Amino acid sequence: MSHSIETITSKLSHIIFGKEHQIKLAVCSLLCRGHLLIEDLPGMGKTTLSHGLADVLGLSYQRVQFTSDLLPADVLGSAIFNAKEHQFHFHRGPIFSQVLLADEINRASPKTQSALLEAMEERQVTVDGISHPLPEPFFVIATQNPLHQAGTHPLPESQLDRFFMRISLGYPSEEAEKKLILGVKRQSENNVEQVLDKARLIELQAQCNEVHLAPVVVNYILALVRYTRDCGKFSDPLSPRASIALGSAAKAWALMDNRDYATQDDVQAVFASIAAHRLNIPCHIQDNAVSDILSEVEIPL
Amino acid sequence: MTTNSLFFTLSYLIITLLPFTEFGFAFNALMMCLAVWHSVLLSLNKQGIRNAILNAVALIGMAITVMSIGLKSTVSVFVALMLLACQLKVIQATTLKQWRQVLVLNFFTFPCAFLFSQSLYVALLVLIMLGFNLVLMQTLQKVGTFKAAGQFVISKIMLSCILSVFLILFLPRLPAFWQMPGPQLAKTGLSETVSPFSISKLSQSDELAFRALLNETSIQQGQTPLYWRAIIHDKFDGQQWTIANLQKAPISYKKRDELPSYTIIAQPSNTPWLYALGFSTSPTALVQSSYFGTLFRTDKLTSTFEYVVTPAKGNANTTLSGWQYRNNTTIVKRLNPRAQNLAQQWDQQTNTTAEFITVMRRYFIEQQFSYTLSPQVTTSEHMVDQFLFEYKSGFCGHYASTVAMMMRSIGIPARLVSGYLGAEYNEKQGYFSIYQYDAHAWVEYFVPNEGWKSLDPTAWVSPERLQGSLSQYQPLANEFQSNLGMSLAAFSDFASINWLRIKLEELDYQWTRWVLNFDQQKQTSMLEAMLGKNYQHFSGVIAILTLGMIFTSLFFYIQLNSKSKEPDAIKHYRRLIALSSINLEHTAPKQSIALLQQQFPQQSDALIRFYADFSANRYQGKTFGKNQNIHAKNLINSIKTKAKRTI
Repeated sequence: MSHSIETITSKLSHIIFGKEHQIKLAVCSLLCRGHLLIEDLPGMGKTTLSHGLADVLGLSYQRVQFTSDLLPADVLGSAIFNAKEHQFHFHRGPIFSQVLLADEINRASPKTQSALLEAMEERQVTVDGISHPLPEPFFVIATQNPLHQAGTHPLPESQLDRFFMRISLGYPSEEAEKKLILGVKRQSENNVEQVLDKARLIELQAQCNEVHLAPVVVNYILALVRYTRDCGKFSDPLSPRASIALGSAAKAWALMDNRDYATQDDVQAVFASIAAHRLNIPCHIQDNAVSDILSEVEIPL
Repeated sequence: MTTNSLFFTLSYLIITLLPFTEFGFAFNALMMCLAVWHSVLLSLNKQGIRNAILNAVALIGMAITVMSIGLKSTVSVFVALMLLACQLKVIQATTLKQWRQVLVLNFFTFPCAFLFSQSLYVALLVLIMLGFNLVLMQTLQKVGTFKAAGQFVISKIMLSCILSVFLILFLPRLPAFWQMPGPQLAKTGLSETVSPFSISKLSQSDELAFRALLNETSIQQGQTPLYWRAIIHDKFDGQQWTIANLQKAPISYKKRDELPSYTIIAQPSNTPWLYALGFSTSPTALVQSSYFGTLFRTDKLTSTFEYVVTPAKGNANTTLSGWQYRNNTTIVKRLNPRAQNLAQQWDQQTNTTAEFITVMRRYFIEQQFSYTLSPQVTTSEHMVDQFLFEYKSGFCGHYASTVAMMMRSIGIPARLVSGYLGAEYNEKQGYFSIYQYDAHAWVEYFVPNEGWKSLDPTAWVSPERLQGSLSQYQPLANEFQSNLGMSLAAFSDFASINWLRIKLEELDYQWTRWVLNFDQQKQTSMLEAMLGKNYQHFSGVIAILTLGMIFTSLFFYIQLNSKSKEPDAIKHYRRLIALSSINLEHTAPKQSIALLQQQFPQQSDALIRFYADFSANRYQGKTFGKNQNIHAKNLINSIKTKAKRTI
């Protein structure tokens, strides 16, 4: 069963070198039907990864480059007057696809960001009082530049919370970078072959739900979440949505590891990418901050 | 809970009807009625009495309680009201909250019995009641069988018993922080007024009066038989003797060094009067000696009381002041003319007091006076005359009164002493028990230049009475036993029952001596015996050590309990990560095992197998059985031995 997941990760590591953990996290997020935020400096492979993900899952995708003058209608679509029929027709925007690649989301104005994020949560678009359901499955893979870059509008906390995970690729290792320089063919191989179809993906998602989450693991999640609320170090502690996300991510992680039960290790593996952006921890100090939390919280056995 | 509530009703009824609580007939009847009402309601399966009815019953009940007991004995009234309130609460209770209230209240209500008696039997009874209460509390708290709750409660009680023995023995005995008035008990002991002529049947009780710890040698040096003096009566109005004014006048005496001191443990009598042989004084706090050489306490005896008696020099007082002489020769001239006449006749025949007594003695013997516990009640106002010339039979009070009155009529100062005669000796434990049926009255008269002397006229007619306790006096056995009513002493003819009685008596003695009267002094002497004279230096250390031990044992108990509840898988896991050279306490199990594998590559496979067992148990709910346990233990041992070798 997880054979196909292994194939996905191995296919993706052919285009992104030396980032198995981040690739696994990205797949994990998609298995949990969660939207993914990739934050990195320009030129680190954000877009490559998101394209690869969409390809490998065999999903239709559209890419929107977010700029400061992008309007909500440019993403969602708008009603256009049909002169023949004397009627307004809804013209679907790029969001009506299975995967939306929102490149450099924090370069758009808050208005456009909000429009997108509303669609992400409700999985439908409402224009002129008419609701249009989005296709199923529906993922948003957004990339953003670190906040200190010029011309960025930071996403509000409430909207960051809607991203299931935030991952950061970071600089590649020397070995990987050497491969990148030598591997001229990479660009042409950018189109990764499809591994899954839609039915298979839905099946895998259902399987995630069946992974057993033992009470001790739930207790550990609770302990972590409560720690962020009680320690006083964080102005925005983890929400119940984050707790739920931790649980389902741990399940998906277990499934990817060929297990039908989740452990505390699974929680620890996914904790950083699920908690850091919700706790307003910047990417570059994420590892230290999260390992501090993990070392403070006692593991219930 | 509803059917179990009969237990509460039964408990309240038992406390109400305990022989020493004496709430009065009306209150007893009230509680019985309520008990019957409750059981009828239970059998009809009817719940929830209207509050108006209950309030009305409560009001009536309060009125009955106050009328039955009276407002004098506040403690009794309040205990009775408590019992009444609890009983009504039980009848009312339907909700869980109300049952909890009842259960908690019972922890105060049941021990109220201790206000009236602290005997071993009451302690056992209260313990059993509290035990049941705890069991019911446990069953109310969580669903479980009666048996499981019982086992739980018994284990907890055992534990607290051990702890309390330890506390009693070693925690410094502090004086009471506050004291409450004891309940006023009607005791069958000595009376401050002696009026033998109006008594038809000397009702006797086998209740213990006091115990005396004195050895055989001190008895031989002292008096035999044992006359325990308690109260001096020096006012006679022709019908009854009343207590002397000076009975409570404290005077300090010099002790007689040649006679040994002895210890007395007095039962609660609700009077201040204490018991001693002859002229005595006492070093015990709160005990004072009176003008007459008797002992008394500054307050009343409401609980068992232990004191030391030292024989004193008091008889050296060989002259009598004028008012004392008048006081001890006063009689009512108008009453008992024939007795007075007889005394005058004898006085003319004799020269000395001793001769006068001899004549008197001869008269009583010649006239065949007899000893009885059931005398005829005198009908005439000349009571002494009627006894002396008509009935010619009576008990100690009759003889003592008559002789003292006749001596007074011819000018010999005489007074009546009440106290106890005889004792039952327990050879094994070496103490005397004196019971209420050993109560006695005799005469003390004054001889110029010699002082006060005792005279027991009862001995003239019944010399056997002097041999020892009344219980051992055969000729009167039948009468004695029939007057005693239902009690174990009444069956002392049967060897086995007598043996049982003596054993129970011994047990009660030990209880009184070592539990009820275990005070600071006893603790001091025990610690001295254990640690030598210098234990004072250690006492602070002991106190701290005791407290320390209590806290550490409590800590370990909690630790042990919480640890023992941990599944085996976790226990083994904890042992394993403790073997690691790096701290793995905040590392998740799988990663910890991986790190352990790096440290102990030889055990790598075993560690993987352990993790498989562990995760199967912890995450998949599978059992961590015997095989898994053995494997885990072997793994831990192999790592341990390896660690030793590398060191």
